[in-house]
Amino acid sequence: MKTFWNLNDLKQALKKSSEISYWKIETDTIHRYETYLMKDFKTNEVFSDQKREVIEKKIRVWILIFLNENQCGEFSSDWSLYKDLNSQLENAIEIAKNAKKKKWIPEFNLQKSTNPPYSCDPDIKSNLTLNASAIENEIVKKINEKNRENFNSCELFVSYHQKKFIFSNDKSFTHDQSRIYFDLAYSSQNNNKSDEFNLRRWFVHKDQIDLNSLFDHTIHCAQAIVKATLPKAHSYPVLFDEEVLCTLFHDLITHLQSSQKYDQLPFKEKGEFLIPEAKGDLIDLSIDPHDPFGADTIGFSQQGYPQKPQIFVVKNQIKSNITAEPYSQYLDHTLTTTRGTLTVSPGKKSKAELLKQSTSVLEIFQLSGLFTDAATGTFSSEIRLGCIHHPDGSKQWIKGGSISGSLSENLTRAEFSSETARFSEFTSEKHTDGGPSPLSYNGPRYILFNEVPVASSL
Amino acid sequence: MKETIQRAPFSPELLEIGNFLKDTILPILNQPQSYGSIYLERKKTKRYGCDFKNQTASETDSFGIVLRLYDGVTLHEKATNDFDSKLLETLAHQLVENSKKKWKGKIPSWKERLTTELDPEIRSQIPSNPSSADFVHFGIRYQKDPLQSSSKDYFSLLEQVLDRTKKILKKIEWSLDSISYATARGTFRIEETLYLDSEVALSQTLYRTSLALTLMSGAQSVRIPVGGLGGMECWEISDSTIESLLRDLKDLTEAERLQPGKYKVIFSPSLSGVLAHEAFGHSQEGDTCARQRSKAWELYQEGTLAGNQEATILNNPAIYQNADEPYAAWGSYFFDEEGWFAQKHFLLNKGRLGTPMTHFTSSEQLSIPRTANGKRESWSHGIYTRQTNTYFSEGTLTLDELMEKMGDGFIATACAGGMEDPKGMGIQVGIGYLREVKNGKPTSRVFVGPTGGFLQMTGETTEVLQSILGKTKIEAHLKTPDTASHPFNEVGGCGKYHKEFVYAGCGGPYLLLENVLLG
Repeated sequence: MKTFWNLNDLKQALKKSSEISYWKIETDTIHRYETYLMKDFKTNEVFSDQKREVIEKKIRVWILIFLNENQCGEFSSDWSLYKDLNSQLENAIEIAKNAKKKKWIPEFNLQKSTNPPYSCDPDIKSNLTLNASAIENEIVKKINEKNRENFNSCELFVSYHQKKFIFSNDKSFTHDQSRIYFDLAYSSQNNNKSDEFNLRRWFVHKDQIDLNSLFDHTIHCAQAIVKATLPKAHSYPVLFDEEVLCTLFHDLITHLQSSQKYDQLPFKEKGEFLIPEAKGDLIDLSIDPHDPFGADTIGFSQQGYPQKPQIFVVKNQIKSNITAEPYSQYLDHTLTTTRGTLTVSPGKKSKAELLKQSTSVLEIFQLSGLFTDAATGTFSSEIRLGCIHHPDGSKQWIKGGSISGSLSENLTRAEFSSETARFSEFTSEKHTDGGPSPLSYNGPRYILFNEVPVASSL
Repeated sequence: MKETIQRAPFSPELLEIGNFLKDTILPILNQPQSYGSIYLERKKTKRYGCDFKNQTASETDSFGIVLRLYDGVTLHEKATNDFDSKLLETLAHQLVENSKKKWKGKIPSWKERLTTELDPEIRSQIPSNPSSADFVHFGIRYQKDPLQSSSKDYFSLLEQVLDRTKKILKKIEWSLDSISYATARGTFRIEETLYLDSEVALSQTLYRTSLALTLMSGAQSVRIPVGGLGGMECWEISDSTIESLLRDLKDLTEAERLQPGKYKVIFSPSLSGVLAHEAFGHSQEGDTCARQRSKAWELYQEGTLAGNQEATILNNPAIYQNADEPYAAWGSYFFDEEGWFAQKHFLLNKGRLGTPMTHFTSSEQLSIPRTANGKRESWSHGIYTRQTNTYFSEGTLTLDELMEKMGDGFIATACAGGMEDPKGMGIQVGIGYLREVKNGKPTSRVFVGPTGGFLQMTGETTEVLQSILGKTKIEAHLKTPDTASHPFNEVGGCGKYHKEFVYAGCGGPYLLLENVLLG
């Protein structure tokens, strides 16, 4: 099929337009390998149900038009090489003229980056298929070594992404990233009861994958889940891990974003305490865009603002609000880092010390579906697998019932573990423009919340 | 005067690509003991938003081809949006090289595809005696042509919704200052797909049109989505709907926290749909059964009762009129992404499980009939067995009669997600807030979760489905017999294995449940 134009034609057309004040081109090249492993019903053999290779190239253009002294119009869209350039340009200008907002002026102030941060596995970049196949072979080997009769399924997606941003002032930057998605499900049986445990993890570099540990943890949890009983309805001290912490902290920091102030959404200003009346471990929080192989490690923001590690909260006090354009101009706030790994300082107590309480402590191994409301700072979920640690040292596996909490209340007396962990998530596109930023967390592996209500039939 | 039916056409440039694929690429994939096929997709989405300060607009264009070869063991796919003919030929040859050629099946012919009972909306668009040489197109019906609207028209419609909201605020004696944030967002998407194998060449065009109004007062928020498959008629939102939303928000600012426990609750159609979707929707997905990750497959084979007489759940991509609305339900289509025609399917009939939904490979693996449930997030994602419109069958009561039957309890209308547990048979349904019902009448008291957030309904799926006490008719506010054929299906989305987002409708009647565990 015939292509109508190339990237250079696009740049020239945007430059020539007398109506467009600023523009940005974002190209995205993706190469992905996918395999979906399962087990044959009859022969018990492991096989790949689907094998896929994806080659994708995208071009996205953002334009800004000044409408009058006080207003501008913005529009972003995917452009097709297989469609006439001028008709796409006319469409973009027509829509931008009607998408009115308060005027602002982009800086696109890219300073020369010293060294781009480590965001890509060089082996995956150089030979995706070979490296993905090698990981797949290792996985199949592990399945055959470890409890194959109870293996259910495993999905492995390995991809290489190259993004290039070109701005109207002729500055540009390139961002390379590798992504690995790993999903493993094992089941278990006990006294006519069967159940499963499904682990899902994202990685950036293949060296981050510890297959032994992932398999052992999944098999251990699958064996535990069939022993689990309903918890008793009660308010427990609850220990959550890095998977839950990643979501909760990303919700928490939305209140630091200057956009919230402009839109009159829940907001906490520089100088305020993040958690009013906090008495537990006080939060130190920063964003590190240079974290090696973090899911959101990047040299520049999407507006071309250089990203460097920045502290936002010290001992529970907000030192800066998270600010991107245009809100820096609307509110006269300083531009800050907006992308990177959310980094939280660990606490002083080990997990074992956190579990030593005078009452029983509920440790959450997995929640069914954690639903959070960033505006109210509340969260709730069914418990997929947990373990109650009783003061006498005995343990009870539990499943079912639901927990609910409020960050502003629960963080008042929370304690962090001294052990640390990282967690990454490249969320699904969910039909938003270009997809949300990846989630990347590096901080305490555990947090202990007091007085978390558990609803149960018992 | 005879009404002219307007249907969404297929783009000529896509038909041109289709001809090239059929003539040049498909023959490479037509190999012995293999099933070669091609899927082409173009989903172009326009999004508009208005709040009190800004107007926003954006467009996405997902356009790609999937070359497919099933060899009896593995479905091999090469997906790309590079339409270079040489590249496509190379990818097709690579698929053939990788094929184990072990498939013993036969690609279904037109005759075989037409032996099943199809909705008149599908039948009427198929020419008589179709052959493999024919491109057969299916277009969604619409009343108000969305392609005739400019961006100015779209923004104007959204501004009108916000203006009406301001007027209704006055009516309920609430000041504009009480609303901290309000946004109306509208989406229009043209979905064009083409499926080719050696027996059929099918195309379809759907117009997916929706609008959502979100209102906030401080940290409390309410949201109502409307929409379906059709034209701009899908964007219509009534004053009574906006008023009801504002009253909920007003009451939410004084909401009480619910004590965790067991209650009688009426689920609105959107929530009963989530219950259906999470209960025997996900666990009745054929690929989950084939991966031995669903208890439903065991219960089906054992013939175990999994709910009471009221527990009938259907999955139906062939809903071309959503309850009494003039447009098709959100999760509908004419054929799935593997060229299988849409049909109604009973997942659970009066507590007894039917066969699972399938897509091509899960039907092969489980040796059960195919259903039209092969879907993917986009052309760049893998295919799975996915739900379309999932809902409980209707009952006989009006909503007033159902509330009277409940006496004291709650009515839940705000959906806040859900989660399945196909193997463990747990269930989670998120509820934004509850309105109290006393002596069969709603009161002004509204309740949120024990810590001020969403409520979660949890339990064991089969026990929950044994606790259904009653259902409303489709037109729940009218005493007259139903005129609509299918219960209402809400605008919704669905993830699988915590990713793979697709659109799905979920709905049904109002559903009364007892002993609902809320926390």
